[in-house]
Amino acid sequence: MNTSERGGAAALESYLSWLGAELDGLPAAERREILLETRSHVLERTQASDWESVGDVLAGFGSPKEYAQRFLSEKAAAPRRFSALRHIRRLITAGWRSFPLLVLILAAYAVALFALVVAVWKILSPEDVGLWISYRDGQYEAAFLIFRSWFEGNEGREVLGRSLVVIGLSISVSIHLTISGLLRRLSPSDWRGSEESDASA
Amino acid sequence: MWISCYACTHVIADRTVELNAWRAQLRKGAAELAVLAVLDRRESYGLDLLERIRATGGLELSEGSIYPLLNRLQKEGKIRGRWVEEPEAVHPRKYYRLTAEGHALLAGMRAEWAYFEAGMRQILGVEVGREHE
Repeated sequence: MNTSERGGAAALESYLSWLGAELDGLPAAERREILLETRSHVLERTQASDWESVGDVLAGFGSPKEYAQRFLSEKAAAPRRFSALRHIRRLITAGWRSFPLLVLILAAYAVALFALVVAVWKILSPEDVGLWISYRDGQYEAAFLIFRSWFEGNEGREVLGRSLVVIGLSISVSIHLTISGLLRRLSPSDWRGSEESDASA
Repeated sequence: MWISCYACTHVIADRTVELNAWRAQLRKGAAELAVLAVLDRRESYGLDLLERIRATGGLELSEGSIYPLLNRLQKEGKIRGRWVEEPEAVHPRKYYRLTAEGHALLAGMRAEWAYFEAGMRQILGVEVGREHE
């Protein structure tokens, strides 16, 4: 390294340490990546061209304080809140290959909806909903009914009682959470730092 | 005479400042669309992105504006970055690509831009094709 290169390297490190200090408000991982990216940029620039020095490139960034301000003042809109509906819509338009998954998801949501209806109906009209078990002709019979008053002649005991509300709600909610988790895993989009990779581009 | 000369240069200087300020605003709005559109075609890292945008002319993106923009887009989930250690590049590079969100936004922005461009063209009284009639 000749004198000017050494001077350039020193100027770069000095700039970066000042920049790092100015970026103090940011999370450590983000700050580290900004500094690393800036360093790589300057070094690649100065290596690629003979007439540009470190000072020239750094001048393009502005002073560390000004440059840091640019990062701090870029207001990021919050990433759009995850919506299962939006992902399902994307699946629908994604093509025939996602069709089985789509069918599975719709079936699961149908079950969830059913469970929700059962829970709500149980609250509104408790005698109509439930699991009845009766002993008839030497055999146990079980029947799960939602609109019991539509059926005649159903004796027997309703065995679930109020707990049916809790059961229905938990089934409904857990199906929704599972599907949401599944969809979220299929298309992640939040900033969690960059992925480390050793593969060449 | 000296006073009018002084006033003249002052007016010219003011106008240049005004134009610069307006141009900066214009560029700022377009920069995001430019970055997303270029990333749409292929994955890029900061320096490469800067050069690709500058090469097409029109939009002079400064060194200092590209990384804050990329940082924000990443935070918003529109692009995703990954670090790559390449053998021929001595220094690690952070490559960016569009996310599904980014693609959706780009499509929306493209439509908006076309609409905006058509509107401005009308306002400025220039219609493509008509001039040649």
